[in-house]
Amino acid sequence: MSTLTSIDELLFGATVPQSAAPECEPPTDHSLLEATCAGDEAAFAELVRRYRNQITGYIYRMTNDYDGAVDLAQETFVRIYRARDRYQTCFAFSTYIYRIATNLAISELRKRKRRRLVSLTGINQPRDGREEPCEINPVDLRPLQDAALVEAERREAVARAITTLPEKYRAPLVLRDVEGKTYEEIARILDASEGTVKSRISRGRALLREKLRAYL
Amino acid sequence: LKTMKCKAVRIEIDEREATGSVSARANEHLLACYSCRAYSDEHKSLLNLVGSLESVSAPPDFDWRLRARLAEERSERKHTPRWPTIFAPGPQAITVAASFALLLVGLLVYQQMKPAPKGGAVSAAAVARAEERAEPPAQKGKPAVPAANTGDYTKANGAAVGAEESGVKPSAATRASKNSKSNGKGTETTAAAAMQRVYSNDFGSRGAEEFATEALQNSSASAGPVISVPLRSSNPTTLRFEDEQGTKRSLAPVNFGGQEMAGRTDAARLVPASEKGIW
Repeated sequence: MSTLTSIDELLFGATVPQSAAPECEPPTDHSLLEATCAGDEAAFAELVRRYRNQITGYIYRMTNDYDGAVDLAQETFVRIYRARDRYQTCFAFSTYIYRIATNLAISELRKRKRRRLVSLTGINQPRDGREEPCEINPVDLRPLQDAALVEAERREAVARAITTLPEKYRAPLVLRDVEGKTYEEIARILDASEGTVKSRISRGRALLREKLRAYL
Repeated sequence: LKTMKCKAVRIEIDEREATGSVSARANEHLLACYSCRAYSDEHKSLLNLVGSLESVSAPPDFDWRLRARLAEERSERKHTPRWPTIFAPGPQAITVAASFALLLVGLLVYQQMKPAPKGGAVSAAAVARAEERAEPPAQKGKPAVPAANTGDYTKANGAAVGAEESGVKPSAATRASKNSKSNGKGTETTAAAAMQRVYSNDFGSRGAEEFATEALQNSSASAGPVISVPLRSSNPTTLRFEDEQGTKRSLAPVNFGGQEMAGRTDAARLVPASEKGIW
């Protein structure tokens, strides 16, 4: 009687390719996508396993909404699966998937802006047309009891400060400073020149530095 | 000069890789320049702060939900007929429907606004003229209808003739009769004209009774000019007129559809399609 070794077996009815031969080199993203095109759903499950956390985390940093980020991450994979036949191997798969995720995240941010959703972080947005919203971030001068609480509060402040950045600075900054992508990769993901990416990251950091001066 | 150098060093600090270090020249500058050193420290702190964000993981049921979405999409594709996207529900379809409705309304308005078709009124006048021309000289001198007609007659005739004189193209019947008279190719043109029809100008909503041009010509050649009497209701119509001696005479009331008035008096002849009503 066979036993299940991974949830992917349950999900897609087949074993993950590299689990059958652990001593071999793991298949590349390209080969997994090719196998997906050939009808191997286990290969697609492996791709999902490789990127689900990265993409969810990236979108979460962009939107600061976990449930929305999970939905958008799923939408990213659905789009990749739907367009698997049209994928071109001239770029890295990670560039491809991050580009889709970025586009989804940015369009979601624009939708929210159109709907004028009032979030707790954006409730104090300026009404004079300024580009940068300022978040509610009252300085709490009381001494905290626990260092863990201090750390948690600091992280929360950073996350909120990132989400208040304009989207054109936010995406490259998150890709660079949170995801650790190179300038070249970011330029490909955002379909911009490296110079533009560097300039936007620098500008984004300057804005972030102003917002987080109390924590530096 | 020092400011320029500070700017270059700061750009280098900004653009260096996360684990990389600045050049030896920049290091020298940092040792000497307090503000650039402060900038570098602040930069490092910022990167540490941003880098300290805890990693976010996908929920445990991520794969299950994704699989469900893919399965749902597959079943939707199976069951949904592949209509062109233009007809798929959405803004595109609404635009197409609205354009179609506008086009339809425009067409209707155009049909209401356009001038009356050339068939009806013109045909009555044209047929009358054609009949007069085709009349033999012997009969031409003898008026079929008294000159002093009552108002009804003149009004109808005048309106019909006026329509032709106002520049409206002659009807098929007129053309056919003119051809038959002027160029002598009567047999050819009459046969062709006989196939054409004379319509009323009832705005095209219903066709008038059709007359074969040839029949009209034959019947009217011996009878004299054709008169048109507009019928506005289905009530019996009475015709009154004066003859050459000034005697007032009248015809028996004629019901709608009673085209045949010949034989009762010496006045009435075949009455073709009128300007307003339909015989």
